[in-house]
Amino acid sequence: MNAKKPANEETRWIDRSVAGDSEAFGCLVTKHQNRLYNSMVHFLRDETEAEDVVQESFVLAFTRLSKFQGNSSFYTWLYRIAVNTAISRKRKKRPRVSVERDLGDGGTGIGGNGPQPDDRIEERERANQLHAALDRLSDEHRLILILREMDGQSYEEISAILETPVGTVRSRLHRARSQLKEELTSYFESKK
Amino acid sequence: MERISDYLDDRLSVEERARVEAHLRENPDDRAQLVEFTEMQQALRNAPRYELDSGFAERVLDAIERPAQAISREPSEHGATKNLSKPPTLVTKNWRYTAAMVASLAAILLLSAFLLPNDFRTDELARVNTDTDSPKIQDHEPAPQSVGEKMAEPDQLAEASLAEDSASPPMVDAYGGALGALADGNGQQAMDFEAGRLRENSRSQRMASDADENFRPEKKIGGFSRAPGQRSETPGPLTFGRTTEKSVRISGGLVKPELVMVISPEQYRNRIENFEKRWGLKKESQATEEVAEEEMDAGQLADVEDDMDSDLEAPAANSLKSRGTQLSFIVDATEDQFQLVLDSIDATRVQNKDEFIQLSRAFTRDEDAKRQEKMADDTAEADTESAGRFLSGELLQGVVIRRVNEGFAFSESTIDKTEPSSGEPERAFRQRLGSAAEPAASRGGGMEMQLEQQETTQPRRRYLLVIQMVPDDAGSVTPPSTDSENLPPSDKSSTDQSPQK
Repeated sequence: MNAKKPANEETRWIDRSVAGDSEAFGCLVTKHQNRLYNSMVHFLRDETEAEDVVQESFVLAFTRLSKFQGNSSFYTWLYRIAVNTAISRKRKKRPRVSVERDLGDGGTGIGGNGPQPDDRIEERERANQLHAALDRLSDEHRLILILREMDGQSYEEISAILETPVGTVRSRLHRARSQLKEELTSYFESKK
Repeated sequence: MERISDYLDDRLSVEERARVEAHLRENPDDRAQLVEFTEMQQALRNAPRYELDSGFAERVLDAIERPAQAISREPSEHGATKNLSKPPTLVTKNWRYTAAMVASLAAILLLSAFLLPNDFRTDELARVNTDTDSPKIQDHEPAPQSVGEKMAEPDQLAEASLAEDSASPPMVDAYGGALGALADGNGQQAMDFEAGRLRENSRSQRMASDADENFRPEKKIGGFSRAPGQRSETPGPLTFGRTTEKSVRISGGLVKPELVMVISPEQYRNRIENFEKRWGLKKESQATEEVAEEEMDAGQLADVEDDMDSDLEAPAANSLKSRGTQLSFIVDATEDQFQLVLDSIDATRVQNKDEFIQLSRAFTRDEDAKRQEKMADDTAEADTESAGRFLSGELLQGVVIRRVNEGFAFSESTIDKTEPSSGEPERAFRQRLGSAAEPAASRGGGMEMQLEQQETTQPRRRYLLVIQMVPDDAGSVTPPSTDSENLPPSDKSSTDQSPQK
């Protein structure tokens, strides 16, 4: 019963949003914004770009909400919009100077169970290594790792978001892990 | 072995799991891989999590409702929610840093004005436009125009809708704000901007106020329905929400049309607030400094070597722990061209990363300084790291802008990786480069001649301009002593572009 309640509540929000109730849509935004934003920050490696993508995705979702069939969860549907938006932006973006942002420092991240100050530098260095390794992956591999490991999506949800068969998700995820492992050689060495 | 991933993700049946475990017991390599996958998984799950602020949902709803309201005057059978095809506009309520923003934007305007080639061509514009999110302007003539004249008449404006321009790079928006104010004001205001100094703290607010008085909302709405390319024969009042079709001549240089977005005061305020929000200026509890990446890269300011763009790194300014914001962008120019810009905005130089950090920190507020002390231990490493990255660029020159009580002043920093000359006096540095910058006025012929002349005699170098904005109540701060003599006198003529050095 409890497990089903959020879905019902969300369905009501969706229905009300389609009817033009912006407050109901605000509930949807509030519910999903941080989870989506976190994924997009890690995917895009840019907090402001991620915020733009998330906002644009919500606006697009609102405009297309009447077409949402409910075959997947709202979040899965929203995530697919966000992924498409993010990829579209990345494609449009021409090579340019990169102002490096030290996401490894947490940015606005909340790192609630973060390390003690004495360990921060080392921990940050490892986080930087991890992010750097992620950056070296293809978008495809980085995204699937974010979806699976950071966002906790199931294979089926990932399949729906990426619009690829579950079997492809499985093999791609394994390849992404293998590639990341190769990129993280120094990471593992530093932990020994 | 994909089974390892399946095992890790617990996607195996009991029997399959048992088989995999048996396999792992006999294959140390696969066992090691599982361990590494597990550690990797843990590391990814423990990665910092990012959250949006509590006002995000409200901004989304504003973005949804705003274009609907603006366009709902046009008949639509789908209702308001069907009109939400435009990019959103972030909305915040903080108006605090507007003055500093205006000054900074004016400075950037100056930079572009000086660095733009005078014979800038339409095809160059087209090329730039196809590569950016800026409103597209494909057909125009770069007719020079004085800023003392009305700059943005309705018949000269491109068909870029207000909603479309929200997808433009921040600085394009910013240009619009500054120029919108200029266009509404008089020539003297423009000239004040040219000199990069305003005599009173409230000047920028007054300019915004001037723009308020000239704002004609009906023109904004009307602009949405105009057919592309349509022009009227008679000049009309200023119309907002548009991109000009004409280049604007300022201080002997041309500002490219796509950089000039004329927006209403309301739009301007929203953009500034958006900007503040976007770059974290509202997060007072947050010690880190947000960095705004300047999308108006070198290709729009001067010639650019595209293949080098992605290799450059700018300082991770969040490690500077100031509460202002920074805009960074790359410009390729000759030493003297860049020097002219710096001279014109009364910039000063620093010679190494320590001075750069010191100067940047000098612009922070007192309370930030206290917070910095507390965080010194944590940030020392980051600062070093940041400066190291800064130095790793090809050839980097930073310009730091600040606001002081008398108006706006600018400072400059120079770091040259190719010449590892930490502590080298500025004079020696220039001599070594063989480009000792003479005062522009002594050469005669004005700025344009100077630029053209130097174009052929000096190699272009790559400069990193760092525009640092500080709160308008930052008060008077003292930059490093070596640079203090270069601050502009407050009573200097606003039209005097003679170098200070």
